Amino acid sequence: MICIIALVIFSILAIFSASHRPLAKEAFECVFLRMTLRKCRTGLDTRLKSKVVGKIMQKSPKIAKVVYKNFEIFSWILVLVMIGSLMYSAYGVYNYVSYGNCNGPGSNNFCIYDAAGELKSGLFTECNGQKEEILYSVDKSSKVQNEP
Amino acid sequence: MNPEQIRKDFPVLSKGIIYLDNACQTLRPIQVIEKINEYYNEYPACGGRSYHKLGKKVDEQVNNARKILQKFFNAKKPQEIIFTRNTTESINLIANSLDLKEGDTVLSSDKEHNSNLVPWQMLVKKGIKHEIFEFGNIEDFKSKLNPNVKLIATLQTSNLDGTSQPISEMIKLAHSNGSLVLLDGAQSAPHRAIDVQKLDVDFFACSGHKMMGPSGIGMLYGKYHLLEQIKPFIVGGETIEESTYETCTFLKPPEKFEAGLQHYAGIIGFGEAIKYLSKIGMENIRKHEIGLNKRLTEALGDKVDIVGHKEPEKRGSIFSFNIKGMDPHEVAIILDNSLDIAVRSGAHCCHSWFNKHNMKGSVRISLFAYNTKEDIEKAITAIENIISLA
Repeated sequence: MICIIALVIFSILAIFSASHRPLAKEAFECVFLRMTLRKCRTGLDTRLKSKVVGKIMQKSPKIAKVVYKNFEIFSWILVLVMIGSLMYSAYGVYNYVSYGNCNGPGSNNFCIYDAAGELKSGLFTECNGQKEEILYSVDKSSKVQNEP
Repeated sequence: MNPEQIRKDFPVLSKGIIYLDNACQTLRPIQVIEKINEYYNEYPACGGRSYHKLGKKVDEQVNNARKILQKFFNAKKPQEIIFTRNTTESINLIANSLDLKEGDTVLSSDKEHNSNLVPWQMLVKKGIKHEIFEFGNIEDFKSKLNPNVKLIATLQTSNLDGTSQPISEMIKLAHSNGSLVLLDGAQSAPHRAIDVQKLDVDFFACSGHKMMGPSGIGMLYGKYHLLEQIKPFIVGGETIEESTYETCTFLKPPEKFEAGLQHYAGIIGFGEAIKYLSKIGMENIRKHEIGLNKRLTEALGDKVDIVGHKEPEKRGSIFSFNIKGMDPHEVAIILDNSLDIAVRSGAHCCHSWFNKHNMKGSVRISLFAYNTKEDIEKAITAIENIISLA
């Protein structure tokens, strides 16, 4: 299971870093083998598991033992969390494209996909007045501080 | 011998790493590194062919290195020392240079490194037989000897578990059978005093990188009259005295085996490494390693599956083991990531032996002069933690 996570992470890193490309390729091979009901022969899963457990062992051998014993379960949880967050992100993109807001029709909440960091209605308008007020007070206080 | 003092000569050890992969290659002291730099900084020229000052200096330094090795291995003369890239090349040189004919047999043990197995497998295609005897088993060895056995190509000490063969007895038996002996000394030469004359061995191969020397340099010792008889393996520049478009006359050993521009920095560095080892003393190194191995065996002997003899004295510098339910690579990666402990895992280039014993491999701790009791205690703690994971 860890190979699925590795595939996603290494694939993203591989866009920017050549040294991660062989790892992404290896992770893909591993995932492909698992998808076709075969055992991952590359040893990537073992290496990742050992690396993670080794790092944890530095801090706490007890936690390392729990992670080592339940690594497959942790991997499954991480994969499910990853799938869940991917689906949630995709839903957000759909909303943004369809309604101009990633939270669905009629929502005034903040949307991360908005490149300007502004919303079409609601939050920005509401904040606008306060923003001017805050800037005014900052300006005023700095003037006071600068006075001899 | 003071390992703490020795450690000061190894810059990489100041980074806090615990280096226990010495059977693969050892670290290099600053003296060797400086000697290599000296070549590149002060006389980076060709030896053996240039009559200028720099060329002469290279010649002088290479000859000096050859003499240091001759003395260290107690060869009769410096010309019996041939510089190669490593033990593998030395063995390949003999495999390709000896005049073995169809029907001749080469004997090797069942614990050979691939470097002393594959070159002989290649000869099988030419009609030469390659037979295997059980490592260290004199009776089995005797039973395999017959007039067709022309060469015994075997190891002195195993890189897999550190055990050694009764090599003097085996050489006597081989000679009484009329066979030559090629000894793979890659794992023995760094850890014990070798006297090639006392052993009466015909050929002896070892590597610089396992003896605190540079990588890419090795040695083949051969009795001079045998070296004169055998044909060269790699030929070309520097191996010949004279040539026409049709023929050539080869130089005498060692030149006839050292084709092309040599790895001068490596040769000079190898000489310096041997000087460094001699200064520490091979017997001191051996005693120190056995002492550390005893501590490892005492602490972990009942908790892990030791590969090879149970007595540390018989394993010398190597503690090879497996933890039940764990992959050897897993153990090595955890050691590296938890406490910066470098060990080797896998089949150690002895796949044939592991396949025979239906084993995947092992974790190998290999010791050397700069390893301390503190290193070993840290390794024991880390291994005990790993055992508790399984």
